[in-house]
Amino acid sequence: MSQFKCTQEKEKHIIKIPASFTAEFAAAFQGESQAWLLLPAEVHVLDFDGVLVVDQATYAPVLQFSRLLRSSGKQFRSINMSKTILNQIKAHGLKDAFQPLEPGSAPAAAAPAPGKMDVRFINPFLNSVASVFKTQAQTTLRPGKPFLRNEKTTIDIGIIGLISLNSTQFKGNIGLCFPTQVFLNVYERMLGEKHSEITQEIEDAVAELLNIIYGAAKTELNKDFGFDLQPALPTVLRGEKLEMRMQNRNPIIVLPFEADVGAFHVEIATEPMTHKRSA
Amino acid sequence: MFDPKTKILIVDDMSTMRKLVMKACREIGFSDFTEAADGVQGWQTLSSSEQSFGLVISDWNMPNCTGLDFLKRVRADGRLKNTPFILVTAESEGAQVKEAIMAGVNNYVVKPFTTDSLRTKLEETHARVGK
Repeated sequence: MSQFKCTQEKEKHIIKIPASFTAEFAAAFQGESQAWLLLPAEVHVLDFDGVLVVDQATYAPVLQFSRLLRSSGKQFRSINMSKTILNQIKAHGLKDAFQPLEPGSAPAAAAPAPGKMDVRFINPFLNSVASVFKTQAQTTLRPGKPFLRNEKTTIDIGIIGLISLNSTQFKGNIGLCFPTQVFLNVYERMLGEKHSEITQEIEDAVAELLNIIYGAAKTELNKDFGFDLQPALPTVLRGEKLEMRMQNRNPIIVLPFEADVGAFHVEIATEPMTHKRSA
Repeated sequence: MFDPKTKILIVDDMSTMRKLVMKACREIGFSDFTEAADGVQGWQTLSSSEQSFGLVISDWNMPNCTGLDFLKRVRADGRLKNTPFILVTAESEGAQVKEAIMAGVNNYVVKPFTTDSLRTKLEETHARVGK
């Protein structure tokens, strides 16, 4: 039975510290932190709300946990420390170990304006697409300059993987768009199988690629900007001269990519939520 | 590391992902694979096979029976409970992974993964199960 109540909030793993954080809890913290290290959460937070006592015996396991997290590129913080506990931690030279979040921390980011090239929003998708293609398809991409799709934009699309974007601040769609032959080349690169036409299995591959790309970008956007993007299932459209359009006719951002397998692109369309969804 | 002759059960509703996992496992040195399209098929295969599987690599989000539910079923079975089990997930669902750890998963892999990253996870898993 865990001695610590833990909760998940977006990409944070929050560990509630007992009111008397005494020596008897030090061993439990040491043991349970081994499991916490395996979690994929990028940020681990110790919640000191209501904590009256922090025994020095707890310093070592907390310090070790903090160091191990940071060595693996993850973040560690303490929140809701009383002034007394905070002063105690500082007096013992352990502010860096406990990383207390003091009043005045950064506010949540604003939602991306529709049809605007907000790099905070675009970069996670650029990074995610490049990473997924490098890892899963052994393909190095050359991102082109993002632009806004207009009526004169003509791009050859034979297959699209589409995911709906749904957050408390905005909604929209993201499409992973390929000319038919380019995706056949990508599929061959991924699996070593050469095909002359798109099959059901190859359609599934588009969906899976988009699933992975969206998952990675969503994690970064939620963690860094609090966009609260929700998980979504991709759909796949196949045909000639496909085109994505939002009902509100906001401009669509196009992220072009080139590679030795051919050129393809990602399209992103967003609009602000008119009624905020409760979290 | 697991013996190259280890019998591996690969469970994923997407055939592309099953192929990607098999491709990576082949590059690591394995050759004995059985596929299942969801947790229900995975359980039927695992429980009815006369030969024992040395490793299960299962996707998380699947219709009919998720990877987590499949894991719980395996861990509840007297004969199969110690089968090494790795879950594959597309994103970092922290609460779910914690639930999987509590349910007894031996390791997890986040997509996208390379052959080397899968190899590392397999080595870690083998070290943990002591086989």
